[in-house]
Amino acid sequence: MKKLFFGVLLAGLATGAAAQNIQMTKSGKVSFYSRAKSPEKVEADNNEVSSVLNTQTGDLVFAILLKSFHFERALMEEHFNENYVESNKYPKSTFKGKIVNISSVNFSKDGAYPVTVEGELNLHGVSRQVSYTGSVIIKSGKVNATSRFSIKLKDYNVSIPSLVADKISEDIDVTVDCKYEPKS
Amino acid sequence: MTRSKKKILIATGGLLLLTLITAGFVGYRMYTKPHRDVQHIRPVRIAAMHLVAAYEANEANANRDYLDKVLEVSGYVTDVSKNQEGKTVVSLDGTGMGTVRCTMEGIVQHEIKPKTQVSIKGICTGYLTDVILVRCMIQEK
Repeated sequence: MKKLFFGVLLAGLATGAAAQNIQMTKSGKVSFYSRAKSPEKVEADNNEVSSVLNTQTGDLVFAILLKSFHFERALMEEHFNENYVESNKYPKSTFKGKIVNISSVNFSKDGAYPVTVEGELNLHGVSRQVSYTGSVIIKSGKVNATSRFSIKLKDYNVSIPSLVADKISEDIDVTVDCKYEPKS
Repeated sequence: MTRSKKKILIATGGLLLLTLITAGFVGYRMYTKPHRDVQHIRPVRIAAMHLVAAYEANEANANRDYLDKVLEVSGYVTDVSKNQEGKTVVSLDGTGMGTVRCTMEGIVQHEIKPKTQVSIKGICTGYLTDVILVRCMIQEK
């Protein structure tokens, strides 16, 4: 039933509260890169990120398809999918949590508000409790959420073949940039 | 060193060098191989409605059939928008709940209008609340 879970969750979050409190996007952006001293940049972008934010309660959900990550090099993309995140077996990564200090964000006043997000991140079949910081940026009524954090591959049982261990860092830097629209 | 020994040495050395060069060349070609050429891959043809219905019915089964495949999806355009990178995203009518969201590759030459019927070819990356296709292109009728 897990496969249904996030669809229902996204739909539930979107319909469960008064519409004016719901901000959503289906084309948010998540990027990552590996900090290791590689001559080649190991980085990828995903522009098909779904996210729903309840501006009243702070509830925040992200859903992301790993096969939507685009690398410059086809071979890297192939290795990422087949050897690292095993995206045939685990096609999705999800986050479900809360902006814990949502009350400090004034959605009707322009500004950049620092926020702390807590919740459960699921990647490669492993769920972990996480806490990251980010910003909610309000500009002319539009809501933009950004964050930058790093994850450890071994926390999610992603192993790096020893052959390329010096090229790929154990810590992966992740950036999130979602421009939301009010739910119509 | 006898002449024949020298010959063997030279032959072995030559062979080794050739192997190295070949391996290097093959390695380089693999390393720099291009992304899949969506335009020239024979697609799986399916109506948007059926694709979304398949995912809503059983995501694991639908992934087995469509995930990472080049699909040519036909349906009615319900929405045309831009993503954060400025790329065009076309939504095709699915089941009323979910749609097929197609991120178009590059600049879209023709104007795509809502309520028109189109066929779009792209790579299926899975299902969120919609079925997602990336690196898409409009197919001419």
